[in-house]
Amino acid sequence: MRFLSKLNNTKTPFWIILAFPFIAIATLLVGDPYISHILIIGGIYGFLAIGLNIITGLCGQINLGMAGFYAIGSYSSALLTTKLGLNFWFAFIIAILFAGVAGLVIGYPALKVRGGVYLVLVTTSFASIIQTILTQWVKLTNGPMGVVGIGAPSIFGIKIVSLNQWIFFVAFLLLIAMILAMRIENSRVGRSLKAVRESDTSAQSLGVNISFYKIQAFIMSAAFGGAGGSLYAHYMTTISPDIYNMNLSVLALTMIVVGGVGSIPGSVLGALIIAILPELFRFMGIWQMAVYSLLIVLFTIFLPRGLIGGGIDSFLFFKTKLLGRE
Amino acid sequence: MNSLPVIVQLIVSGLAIGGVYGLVALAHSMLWSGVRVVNFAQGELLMIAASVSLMFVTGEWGGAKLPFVPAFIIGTLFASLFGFLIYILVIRPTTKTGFLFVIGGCVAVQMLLQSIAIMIWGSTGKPYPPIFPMTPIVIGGVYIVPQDVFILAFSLLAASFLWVFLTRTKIGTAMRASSQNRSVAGLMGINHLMTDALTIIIASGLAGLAGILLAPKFFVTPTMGVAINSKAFTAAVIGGFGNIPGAVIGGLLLGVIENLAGGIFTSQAKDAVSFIILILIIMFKPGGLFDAGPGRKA
Repeated sequence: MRFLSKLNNTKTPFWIILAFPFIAIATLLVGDPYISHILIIGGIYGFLAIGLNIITGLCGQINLGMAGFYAIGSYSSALLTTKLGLNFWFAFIIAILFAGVAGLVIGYPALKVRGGVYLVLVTTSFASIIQTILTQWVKLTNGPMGVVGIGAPSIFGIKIVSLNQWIFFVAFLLLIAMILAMRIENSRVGRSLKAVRESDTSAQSLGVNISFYKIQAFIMSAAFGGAGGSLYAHYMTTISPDIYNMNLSVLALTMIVVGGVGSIPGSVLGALIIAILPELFRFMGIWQMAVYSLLIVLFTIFLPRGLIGGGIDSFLFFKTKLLGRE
Repeated sequence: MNSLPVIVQLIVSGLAIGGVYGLVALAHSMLWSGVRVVNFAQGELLMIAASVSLMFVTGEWGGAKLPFVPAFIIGTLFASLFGFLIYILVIRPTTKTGFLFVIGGCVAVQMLLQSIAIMIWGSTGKPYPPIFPMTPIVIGGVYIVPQDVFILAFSLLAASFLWVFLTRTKIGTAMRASSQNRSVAGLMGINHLMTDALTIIIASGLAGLAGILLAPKFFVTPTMGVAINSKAFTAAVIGGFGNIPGAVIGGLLLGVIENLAGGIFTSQAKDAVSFIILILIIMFKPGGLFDAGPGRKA
């Protein structure tokens, strides 16, 4: 399925991933708790966006069910720590595993689906079913009341409680996730995924096992989403099923569209922007949501390669046209 | 509880809402078979039509209270206009880039329209005066609401009018021809610009119609279209995405199944059943229930 005509084929410089820690330090200097909170949420969204970019940007399979993976990550981590009293790190890893299994479960029917519309419908239905289960299975999940009192993670005996600690914790984990995702992108697996994105048929004729790689992409994407969900649960300490709705999946989609489809640093950039943008427009009052959504419409129409793609384009333009260098 | 009148009761009230699903599904199927696009913001057209016609019915706009029929027509026209604008401004430019961007653009338009609706009409639900009484009539132990009968009858009427238009008129034949084979239809002198525009206007109007029909049953809110739209996708898939009679039958079927599930199990089962049906159909019968197999048109 050739779903994107202008691709982010230009390699993004690796050092871009260091931007997030720099922003973290800058926020620390400002010291406003509100800004810190927005930034932490943006960083956690970054996991969601990286996950979506692996399945959608690299493999070309549209997925509007990221909220489902995020919810599975959140709830498994929350329940394991509150009910079984597990350590954060164990719960984090098990949450990633559970989300990965969910990716396998949804990846199998997605294989049979031809065409983008059906894939969108299958993945949205999956996320809605997960949300219904979380609301209905009161014995396990406490239903609409949600899970409360989720413990803080600790690293080397230091409990991560304050906002400043959380900023660095999220920045550190996000850095690892980005390096991992960029390694995946440039590996044999990543190249196969890109081949599947460009054309199922030609990839298959070149000996790429497309079913295997599509399912693998779903599992990886779900695992990143689950990691984000787990972090979210521990950061908020309280979760309820109503936040894992369709809007969250849509938000993930807008993140990669704004940042740049197919670019891992772009997805983190998009996540930060999507977290910050509504806050910038807060002074507009009731116009806030309208201006925000209008901006996203304009992004999809006029900047299909996202901010990263647009940035690289203008950089190359200045380099060749103004400086006269190839 | 599971006595026969109750079952019949559930089926009857399921058919009414099923008719509405059928209309919206029909709009999706027309767009897909005719223009090869999906309007994910279709649910907002329902909302716009219902809200605008409510403004005329209550006399909020223009002072004088309009009777139902003109308000109905104006609401439907507004839905057509907005559907056309969404196509021209968002769907058409993004289709060139890729399907992902069509979804992104439509979803953002959805947010935009909802937030504008909140600004204009407020976020609280407003009652829509029913055209027929909402008090049920008892026929053989079955409670039938006249408004439900009207909804079902009107949606079936609209669907059959559309069918006559598509099969018996010259423009309708042109529209079907370009949905079957676009390039050959173009070679036969069919103007794609005209057929595309007409398909979009009719499909958006149908969605608006569904919104106005539904409004007296539920409240008019800025987010009223979202749930209906997702059900309509399921209905369209049941009938085969792009199959026009199939969409209506799929809608009725979904309405009945959903209502039965809601009555026999819990009310929450109602929403889950639609998603489960969707996944099962896509997995095991991707061409819809009436798909005769590859190469044959049902």
